[in-house]
Amino acid sequence: MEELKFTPSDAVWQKVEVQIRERKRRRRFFFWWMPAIVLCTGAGAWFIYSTENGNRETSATEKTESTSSPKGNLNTKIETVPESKTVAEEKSMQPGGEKNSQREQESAITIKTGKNAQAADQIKVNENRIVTGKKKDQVILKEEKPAVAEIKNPDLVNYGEVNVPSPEEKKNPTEAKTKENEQAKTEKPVAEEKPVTEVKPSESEKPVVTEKPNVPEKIIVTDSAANNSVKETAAAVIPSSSKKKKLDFALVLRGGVADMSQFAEGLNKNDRLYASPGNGSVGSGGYSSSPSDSAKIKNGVGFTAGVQLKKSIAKRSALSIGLAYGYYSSSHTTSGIVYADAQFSNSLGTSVVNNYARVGNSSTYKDRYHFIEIPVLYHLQLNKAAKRPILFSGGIAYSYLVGSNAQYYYSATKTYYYDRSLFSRSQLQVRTGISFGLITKMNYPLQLGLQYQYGLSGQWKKSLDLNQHLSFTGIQLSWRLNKK
Amino acid sequence: MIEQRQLIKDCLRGKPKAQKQLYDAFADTMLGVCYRYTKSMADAEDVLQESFVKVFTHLHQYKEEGQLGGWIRKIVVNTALNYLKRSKNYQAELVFHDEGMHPVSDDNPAMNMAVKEIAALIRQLPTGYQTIFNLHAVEGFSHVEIGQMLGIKDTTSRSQYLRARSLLITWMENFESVHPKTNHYAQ
Repeated sequence: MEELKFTPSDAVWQKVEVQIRERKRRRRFFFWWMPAIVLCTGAGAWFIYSTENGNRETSATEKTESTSSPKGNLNTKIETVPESKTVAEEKSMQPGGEKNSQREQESAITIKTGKNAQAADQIKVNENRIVTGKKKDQVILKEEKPAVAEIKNPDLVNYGEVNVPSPEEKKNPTEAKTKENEQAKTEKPVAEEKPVTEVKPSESEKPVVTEKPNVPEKIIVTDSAANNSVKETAAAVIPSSSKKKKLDFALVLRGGVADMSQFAEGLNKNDRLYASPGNGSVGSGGYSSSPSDSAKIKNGVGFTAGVQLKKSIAKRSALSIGLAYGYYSSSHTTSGIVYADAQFSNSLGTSVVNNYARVGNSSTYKDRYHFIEIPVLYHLQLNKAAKRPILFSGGIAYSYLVGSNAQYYYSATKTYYYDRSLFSRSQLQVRTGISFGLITKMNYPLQLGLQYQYGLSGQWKKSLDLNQHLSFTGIQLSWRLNKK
Repeated sequence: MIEQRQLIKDCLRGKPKAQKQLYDAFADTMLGVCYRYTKSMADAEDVLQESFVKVFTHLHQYKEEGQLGGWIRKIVVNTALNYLKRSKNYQAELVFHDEGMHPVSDDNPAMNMAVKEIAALIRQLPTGYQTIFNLHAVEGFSHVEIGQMLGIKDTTSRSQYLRARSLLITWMENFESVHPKTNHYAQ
């Protein structure tokens, strides 16, 4: 039986080859991508977890005395929140809070807003502590306008639920399907064999041999017509690399400096606090008569890790779409976290918090942002040299904020607090950069370059008066994963 | 041997030329093996294609303990069996019954027939008989091994094989009577 040999059709080897390449590509995906995805997911989850817990943490060296007192303690001092009159008056107040020094001895806190409080921001302070045996009445001043503004944006949802953008907003990256794979699903080749004997249904035990076998041992299985059709199919199955434009699949890493640029009305990086905590007197809110610390926003680190699918559209230009995880951070100084219940009313509603922070200089709070980004970029090779290409890239990126611990700045009272319902989850960035080809000779070339991105959308919802935009400057490393 | 080792190394590195060379060296013979287990050349080529994908995927497991051809043949046979078990066409015919032994003659008419004629007759057996006959008479597996491979008792395998053999002898005798050739025993 060793002598029984047949020549298989050409399509058999072609199918074998296609499947081998497919398995190799899948293996590469698992070896490189799965660890990268797992790493990014793990890092993101760790950061989100740590930032969620970070609301209770403080890096302050001093804490106000009220923070150590449980609710209902008779000896608790009242934590006073600096009052403000109209917003206009608020703005006109001198730094240092000279006007407020008169109210240091007052035990009741009244907060009034003027008739023309366009911003409709006010603070309701829910004092649960008991001082001098008397429970403080809650004093909630009402404006002519309703204290709690109606929610203007009906689409606003509590971020206890997930605000999932509509499918139109998100563009899912398409899988890297090469044309070889698509065309690899060819029809079965038509292979006709020259019958040696007629094969009848197996019901009858006696076979009928109609032809006397007079053919050589080695049977040519396919005839010429079948061969031609198979060859045509084969040509379609395996396209030549020179004719078809491949999709390039790359791993993209970026690292650099993140900055938060602010354009908030009344918010100045050099604004000074007119109150500081803990002056020691009972009932005092810790107002200081002296000019106090400045609120500063500092740069932080940023990095992204993701993948990119690039397709050349002309000789030296290409379009790409990617998917990445982005982490950005900044920091601001505070006077320390105040652990007290408070409600902040703003144009979106009321934020109920159990801690907040005032502008100060004694501690630093780190704002962290976690994004899922989908950049769509245009690439242009500026030079003709294939060995050392210089590439310009520019485009936009849709980014979705999946987690953050950033504090919202309430300018009326120069207070920071955390409320995740205030974030603008879907954001748009503009990106530009220049990169250089490194190690182009190998099958998996590297590119290194500089990148700049700026957030066109602010970090906070539009109806809020805080206008902060995230920007990033850094280095990008791009490593192509499919063979040249 | 050195050439074969180098060929295997190149195949493991993913060189297309080396892989094609390996395929060309064994494809003809292995298609003959597939042919014996299937009912049509198209099915045989399907089995061959699956087999060689497995060969290249698991080539790193080949330890050079035996012939490379023998290692590939084992893969092909196992692939053919799996193919038969999966195929709806064949599943209905893969029925094993304990049957009595069929008397066989002492003549050996197979010597007068060409290999491919015998293969054609083997392929005309019911699938169960065909499979067991191939595994025992051609591949050389014992009935115990065949029982393990097919999930049947070794006694069932033995009886199926004897039944297949007796059928084949009958057909060969008929073939001889229709197409007489020089009979070695008659001389």
